[in-house]
Amino acid sequence: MSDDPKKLLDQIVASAADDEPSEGQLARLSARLGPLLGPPAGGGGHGAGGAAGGAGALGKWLLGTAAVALVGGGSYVAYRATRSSTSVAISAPADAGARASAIADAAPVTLDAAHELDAGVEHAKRPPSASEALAEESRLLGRAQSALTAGDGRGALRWVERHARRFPKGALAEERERLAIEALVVLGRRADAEKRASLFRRRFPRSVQWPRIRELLDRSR
Amino acid sequence: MPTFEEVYREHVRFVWRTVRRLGVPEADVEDVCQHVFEVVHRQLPGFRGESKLTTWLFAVVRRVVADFRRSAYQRRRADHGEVEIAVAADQEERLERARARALLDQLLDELDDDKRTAFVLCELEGMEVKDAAEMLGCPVQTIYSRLRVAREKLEAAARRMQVARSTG
Repeated sequence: MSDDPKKLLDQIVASAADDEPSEGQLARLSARLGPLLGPPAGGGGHGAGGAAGGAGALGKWLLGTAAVALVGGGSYVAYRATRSSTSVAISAPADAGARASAIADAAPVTLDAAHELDAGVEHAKRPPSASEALAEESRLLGRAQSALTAGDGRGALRWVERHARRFPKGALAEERERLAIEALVVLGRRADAEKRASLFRRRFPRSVQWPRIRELLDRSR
Repeated sequence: MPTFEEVYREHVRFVWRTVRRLGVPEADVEDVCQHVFEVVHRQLPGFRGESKLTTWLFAVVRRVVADFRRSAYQRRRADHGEVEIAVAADQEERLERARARALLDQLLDELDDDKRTAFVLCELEGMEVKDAAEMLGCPVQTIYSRLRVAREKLEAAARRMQVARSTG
């Protein structure tokens, strides 16, 4: 680097040109924003024109998401898995038959246990590929978000718990937990929301979702 | 009003660069950008066009970045003070650029938020001063003044850096 301070400063400032995101980084970001972006045009890009609506649009979006996840150079699932490898105890009922309604009412159990209960019932087929898993995760959480937007906290919790059973350590686990906490707040179950938030904090101490969760809990006081 | 997808497509690179330049470490830019766009998605229906879209978007970016920088994690990183440069040592040119970029982080950290923001928008983003003034809601003269002081501080910091290098 230059010995002249002014040139050194110019050289340093010029390095800001490297702040441009790469195509791979943009593809990963698009994948993470998932359902918010709607169906990508031509199976690629960052979610062009028109909101997702109906089964056809959803199907296209799922395909597009899978493509985008692959463009990222290595699966997003693998990327996130390195950031969240610890397991955590979160509510769940012991009785599989009554699971859906019980989850909405209260119910702590470990996610892993819930996942085991589910194994062999709904998803005893071949394991999904990384891109298929991500698309399915996004779909489930997209439904949870839609339920929340409609003010349906119970519905949101059902979708969230369905995600938790299928993908206990999924790539979108942070997003799932944030949605769960939001749903509990909507239902007026503040104590449960606080408990879940506390588990979230332990499991994802670096999560960028945390300020939002904190704000949500503060606002609900 | 633009759709969320249009906002994302048009402005994702601007958001990414700005998040990085306002002080988010490279490893966390993706997380923070995700959060920015989640906020945008939630709040866009309430945007009535009272200001330019970029002004509104920039306000969201600033808020999210400020939240991030206040977080305990960020404080812990700052305490360690080490800059990671993820480039193989034999890649001289890339290493040099990575070092320069790490130094830019250090220099920008010496500015307060107002001066840093003015410098990022006008010097790094190449925005006109009048546009930056509108975006930040202050008179043009204030921006000129912040830019002048920011440049002085950065030059002084570069001089100190130079002295440290030559005596180190």
